[in-house]
Amino acid sequence: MSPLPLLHASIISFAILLRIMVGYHPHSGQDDYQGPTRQDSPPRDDPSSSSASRVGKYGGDYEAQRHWMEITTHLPMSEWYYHDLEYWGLDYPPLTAYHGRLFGWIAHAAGSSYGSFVGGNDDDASMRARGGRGEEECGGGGLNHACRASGNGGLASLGDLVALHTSRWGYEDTVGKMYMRFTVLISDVLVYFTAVWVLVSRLASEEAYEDGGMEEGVPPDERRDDDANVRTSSSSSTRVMGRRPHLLLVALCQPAIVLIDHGHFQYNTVSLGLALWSFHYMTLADPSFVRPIVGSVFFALALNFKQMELYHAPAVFAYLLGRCFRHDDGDRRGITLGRTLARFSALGMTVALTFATLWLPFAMYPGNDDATGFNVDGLVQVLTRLFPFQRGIFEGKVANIWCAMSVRPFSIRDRIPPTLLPLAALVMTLALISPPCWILFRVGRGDLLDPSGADDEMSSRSSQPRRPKGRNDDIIALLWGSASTSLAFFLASYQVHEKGILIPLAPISMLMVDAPRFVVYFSVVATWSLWPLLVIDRLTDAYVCCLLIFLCIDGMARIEASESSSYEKEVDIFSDVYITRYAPTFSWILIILLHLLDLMFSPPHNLPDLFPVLWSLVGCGLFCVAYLGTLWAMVKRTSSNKCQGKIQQPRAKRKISSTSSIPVMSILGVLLVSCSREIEGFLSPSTCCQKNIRIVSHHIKLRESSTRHDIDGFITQDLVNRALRPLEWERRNAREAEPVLNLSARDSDTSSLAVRADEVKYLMKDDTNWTSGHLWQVTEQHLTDMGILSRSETTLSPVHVLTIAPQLLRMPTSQVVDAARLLMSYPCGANSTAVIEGDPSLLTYLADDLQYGLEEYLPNMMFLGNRTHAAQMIQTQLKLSPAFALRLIKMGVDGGLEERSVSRALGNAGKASGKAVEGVVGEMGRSLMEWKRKKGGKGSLGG
Amino acid sequence: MIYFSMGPLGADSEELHIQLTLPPMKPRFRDFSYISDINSCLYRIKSSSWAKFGTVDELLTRGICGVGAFEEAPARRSATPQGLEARSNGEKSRADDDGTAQMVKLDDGEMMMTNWRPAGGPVVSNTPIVNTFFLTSPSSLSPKSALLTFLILTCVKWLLVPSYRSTDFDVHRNWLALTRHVDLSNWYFDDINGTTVHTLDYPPLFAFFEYALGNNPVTSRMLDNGWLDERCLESLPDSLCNDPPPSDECVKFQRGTVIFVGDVIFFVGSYLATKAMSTLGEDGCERASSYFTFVSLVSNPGLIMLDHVHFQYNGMLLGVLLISISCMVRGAAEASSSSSSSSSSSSSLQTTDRRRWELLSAATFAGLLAMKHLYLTLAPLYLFYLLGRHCFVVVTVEDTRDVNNSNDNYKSDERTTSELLRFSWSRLLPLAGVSLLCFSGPFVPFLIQLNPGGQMRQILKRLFPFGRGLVHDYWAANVWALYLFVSKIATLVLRKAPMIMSGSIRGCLEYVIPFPEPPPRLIALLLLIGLWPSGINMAWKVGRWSLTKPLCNPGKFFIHATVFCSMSSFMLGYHVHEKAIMTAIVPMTLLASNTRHMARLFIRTCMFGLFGILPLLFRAEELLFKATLYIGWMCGVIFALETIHLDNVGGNRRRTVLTTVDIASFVILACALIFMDIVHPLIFVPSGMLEFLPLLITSVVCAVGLVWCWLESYRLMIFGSVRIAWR
Repeated sequence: MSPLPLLHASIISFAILLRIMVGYHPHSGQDDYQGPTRQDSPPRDDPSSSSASRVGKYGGDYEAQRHWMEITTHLPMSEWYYHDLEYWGLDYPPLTAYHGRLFGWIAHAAGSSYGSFVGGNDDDASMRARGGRGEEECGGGGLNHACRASGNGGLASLGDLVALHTSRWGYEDTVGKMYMRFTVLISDVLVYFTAVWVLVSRLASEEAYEDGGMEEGVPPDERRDDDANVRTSSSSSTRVMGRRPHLLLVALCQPAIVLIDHGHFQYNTVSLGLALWSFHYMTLADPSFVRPIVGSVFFALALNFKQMELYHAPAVFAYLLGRCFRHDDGDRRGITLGRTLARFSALGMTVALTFATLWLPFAMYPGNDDATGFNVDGLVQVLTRLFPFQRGIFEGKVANIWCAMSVRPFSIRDRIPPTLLPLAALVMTLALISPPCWILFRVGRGDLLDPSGADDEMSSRSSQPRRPKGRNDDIIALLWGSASTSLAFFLASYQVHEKGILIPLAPISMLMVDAPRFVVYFSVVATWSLWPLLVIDRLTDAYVCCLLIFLCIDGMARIEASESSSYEKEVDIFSDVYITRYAPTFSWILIILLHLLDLMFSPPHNLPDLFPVLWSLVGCGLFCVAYLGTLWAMVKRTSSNKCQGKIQQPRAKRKISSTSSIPVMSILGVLLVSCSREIEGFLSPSTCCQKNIRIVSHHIKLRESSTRHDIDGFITQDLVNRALRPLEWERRNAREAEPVLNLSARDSDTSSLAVRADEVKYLMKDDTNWTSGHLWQVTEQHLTDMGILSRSETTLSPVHVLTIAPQLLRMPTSQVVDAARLLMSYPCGANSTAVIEGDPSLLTYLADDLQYGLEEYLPNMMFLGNRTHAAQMIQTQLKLSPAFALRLIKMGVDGGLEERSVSRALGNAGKASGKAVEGVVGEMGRSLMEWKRKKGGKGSLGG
Repeated sequence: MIYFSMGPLGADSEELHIQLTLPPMKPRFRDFSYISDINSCLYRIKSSSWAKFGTVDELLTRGICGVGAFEEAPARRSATPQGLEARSNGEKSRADDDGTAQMVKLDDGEMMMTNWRPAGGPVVSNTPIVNTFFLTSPSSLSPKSALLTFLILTCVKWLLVPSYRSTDFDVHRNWLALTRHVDLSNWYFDDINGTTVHTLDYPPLFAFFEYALGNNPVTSRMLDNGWLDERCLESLPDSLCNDPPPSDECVKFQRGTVIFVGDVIFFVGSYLATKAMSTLGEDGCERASSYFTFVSLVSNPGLIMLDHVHFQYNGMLLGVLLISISCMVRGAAEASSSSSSSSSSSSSLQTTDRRRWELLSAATFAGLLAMKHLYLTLAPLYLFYLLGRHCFVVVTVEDTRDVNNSNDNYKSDERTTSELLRFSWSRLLPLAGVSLLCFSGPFVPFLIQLNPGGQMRQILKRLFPFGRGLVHDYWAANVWALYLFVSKIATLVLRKAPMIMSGSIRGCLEYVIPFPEPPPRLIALLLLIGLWPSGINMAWKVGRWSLTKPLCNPGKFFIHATVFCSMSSFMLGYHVHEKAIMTAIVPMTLLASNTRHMARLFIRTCMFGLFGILPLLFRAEELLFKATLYIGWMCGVIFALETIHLDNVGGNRRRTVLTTVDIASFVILACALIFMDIVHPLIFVPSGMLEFLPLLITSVVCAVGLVWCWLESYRLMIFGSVRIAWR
């Protein structure tokens, strides 16, 4: 057994501990404390408050949640959304209500049964234990055990906690608070922790694969056959083992999430955890499409827990829509409209069913008895509770665009009529979410998968087992995309409040593999933006501590990275663009400066809200940068294949042009281009992701080259030039084409003695047919049909292939297809693309040459002529050490070519000499004939 | 003996030399603890710049580094450089006998591969050593990572400010008020009605510490700015029932003193001790795990619970103890290097260094004694160790007259016949002077009062309240807990037993049972017996041997002895508190990464000792906190130790630190915790039955475990560090 689980247990314990300790601090509105300055003003705006009823409310979110427990426990369902809306009326979706009912029921049962409690026949022992001890009595003695509680009030007070009406106006005792905290903690652990665990395992394992993981089944002995790779693989794999704990720590100690859920008191982690679970299931590859459906059910649940999950919904919708079109693994029939429709309707049905199950009770409970028994009013009431449009465009001081724009110089609220504001918000939000959604749609369809194998020759030379790479590209893209859309919502939508920032934070905190510095940046900024709220909650100490703990963890990881990894320096050199280094630093300085100002100066009398406004202004700027960052990251992860998509599917091209006609898109593009350089810096991983860096640089190169030729995507002049370069065997053939023995040639007709090589024509002919890419298009279509190119999971993208073997651009289709067919069936007739995947340049050979090399030459030279043995050897080597296998194959093919060319040359020489002899003889004969003729003539004359 | 040597390969790799001492392969002492030493050496390879060339076994097999492990001198010695040659000429036998390792730097490319395998154990583990987040990379403790660790822990402690605080909080608050407002002559007399429970019962230096907390610029500035209310520093009434709870600022201030004064001292002590451990001894392998040592020292959950929830200043006291130990270890390290060079005349500079370290150590310890008299049981150890080690000088004797004159000779060995030990008064006097000054200095202000005798009597009465009974009302998990438990069981059995046994026997038994409570004097005697033959005697001997013999490690021995003496006083002491186990656990942390045996002992001591502290936080709010803290920390420590002592026996079997016994005891403890905190309050508390049953179970279970740990610590002290030195 490995001791690693112990480490994970320790880390999870630490995360729980952090939550418990934050839980000791005051919750929102404890003792009806409403902030240092507004002792007597009405409670501050809260998501769960309704605007009309500011007067006569007590406390904050804690009281709201407790009140909901009380309502849901004691009232029939039909009254849940109607009961006394003035006092913290229920305005979260049904799942929250059910959740509240569950915990309220437990508390109620524990409390009410406690009075008559005699023996221990309860199912819920642990719950009782929470309340089993009363408060500390005044011992008075120096020995603390004298204070040992014998109080019987504990469990009874749990019953009081959820007692209807009597508990109103802030029932706050220690046992009740502890119980409420415990409900958050248990929900958190059950939903969020598990989701994070699953995702982290997935993401960390991808790292292992990409860096040449040794976890799975490749014994060290076989890895050692290639010297160049031993060290990278071993050192990186050990690093990988260290990454999972780190990822876990970062994801679980997110200060903002901990502070809001366990300090301020909310159940965000339930909805966030459900969303993460849904992301996990959606992105699993599954031809039968069951797992995306499960994922959609999870997402519907998340949506039903908290309506704010709508921020993620566009991303999820776009991705799933794309998935409906996906050409999945093992699905060779191609995608038909029928299949797409079936998938789509299945998704729709399950989501609708989930919703129906959760919402039906509210419709079935008749408010005023109808004949049908179906009560639409109930649903409408729930909906109006959920989406209170009358509350204004934003609440308090939120760091979003509208709030920033409503400050004095802009004062947007005065310029746009209030009826238009929702519309403006809608338009703005749509404009902001469309780019990530579009990218996600493409990702879902499977044509934007990141070809992590597309990096130059490195991959073809690497000895690592070629695994289906990029199998986590989907999840990473979805995480980025959902972060992006939710940030867009946060920035631009209607009715936003500060806690909305948790929604992008949850996916972003999972992306430590991709962009550690960006994750840290965003986490800190998000936490910082909550400061005004936390001041009101008296959580400033907890804020400082949580933030410091998070930063220290990051610092320790950094120290570790700099000590253990020798690649760190390379990474730094790459990301050493000046602006990128200073952009985060600049924001740190800004943040610290604002904190210092807040600490040292009190705002002037005429501007009492100076600091919250400053907070929202600066926060808006920083979040805009973060939004652009997420967008940029998505583009970066997918850019290299965009052009490929264009060529493959002309329809897609048209769509792009149509969407890009939207002016907003162009504006965004300009912004993006101008900001991309800036963001690159903290997107670039600081710890040991040199692989990603390489990919990124490659992508950038590719993108740059591709932008030069607008019309034909990636077929650039450069590529054409490279394609013109003759192949080795072509060069040889050309050489052979020159006559070996030029003995003859006195007359013009002797030139026919030389053997002409037809192949040379490709080189010489400047055919417009292939430079425009039409030839390649046909070839690609064929290869795609054979299942070589467009297979989404294997990342054998056309770009990749052409980068390695540009000559394919001008090869006749039939020749390439022949070669491909041969290669596909090569080792033991297995129908696999492994060989081509290893080295696409093999496609440039003639099928005939390949066959000879692989089936004659190689077995003859190395396996005593045993063909099957050779093929088997190649097959096993392909699994163990592809580089070695490829080397063997190459050796065979090249050797075969060599051998044949030599023999051909010899043959030619022989033929040529024969012809020459023939020619000589013929000439002699001719002259003899002539002579004879003459002679004969003479003879005839004489004869 | 074993050595590793790697020459530079390429520009960016350093030379790496590791040497390692193995115990002599005598059957009696054959425990395979050195295997973990080898592993820690491998660890060091791993953390060097060589690591980027592959895992350790790859390095080994690819032949970049040479590993030579010999049971006897290799035949090729002539090919090696001078260091080994010199050894091989005259001192071959000795080198092999005492197992001192030789570091041999081979010429580059020169490899020595000898497949030496001790019976039953491999040298090199087959699996690559697990590289993890915490352990490998910051393997050597850098100030930066230490600072980050400290920052994290400080934040954790600050988060605990609003949590539960015991009456000790009020006690310390009252002391602060007392020293602030009351005249010095009345500090120990302040008990107006004779009813207050917050009387000052720590030695004077601690009282001055409280005085300093109340009267310093920072505090007065806080008071001036209105940040701290004056009420916080007022004396408490006798009964707190009607007293309003202290303000938030007051709580923060008091907690802040623990965090920012006490824990900084503890942090400094931990850092110094860890650094001293890494310089300790001849094998540089300790360094591999110094980060672990540091982290597990400063993050000890017992201290977090005691100091930052329950409220006490243990961290500060233990920090001072650690500083003292670190000075002692440094002194020992100086000496061992000087003695191994075996030219006493040339090492005068080192000797003075050594003297300074040891004087410093004695002074710190004397100061510690003046702060808290709990550490009195360590005093004999210090006394005799320093007497044996510090007060003797090595004299190189030309004629025998000196031998006759010196009052105590020790003829150490036939090899060092020319070196004699002579008692030196000039050494003793400064030592005694410094120690006495540090110890009695704080008492002086009380002695110059009107009635010095009365003052001293009152102080002593406060310090040693013998009226309190044999055990604390929550039994600390020691021998007396077992004694009382047996007594109670016997009473119960006797009462319930029918008239089967004849009247006379029953009468006799009734006379003996319940067992009589031993008087304090008897307990003091027992304690002395517990300490004397093992700890003190050994300290005396080791202290003197270490001067002339190239001992394995007097510093290491000293820590072992500290652990053992603390355990003994915990086990046999009068009115012991459960927190006293921290005095044993903290020094033991320094040794935990040395050998697998030590690691196992450490885990068990922590397991039982810290569990005994858990009932201090009895509120339901802290239940989850203490359980998570305990479990999380234990998991982390076990993981770290398993990783440090990782080795493969072969195949899939692996020698682990954790044994089945440990897992079984964890299960038992878990059951005890569930009973104590969940079942008992639900079922028994309402009916008022068996109120103290959970505490009884806890202390008895922990006592059984800790008694085993006590004996094991004795065994390890004797066999682990002394016997090696004995030859």
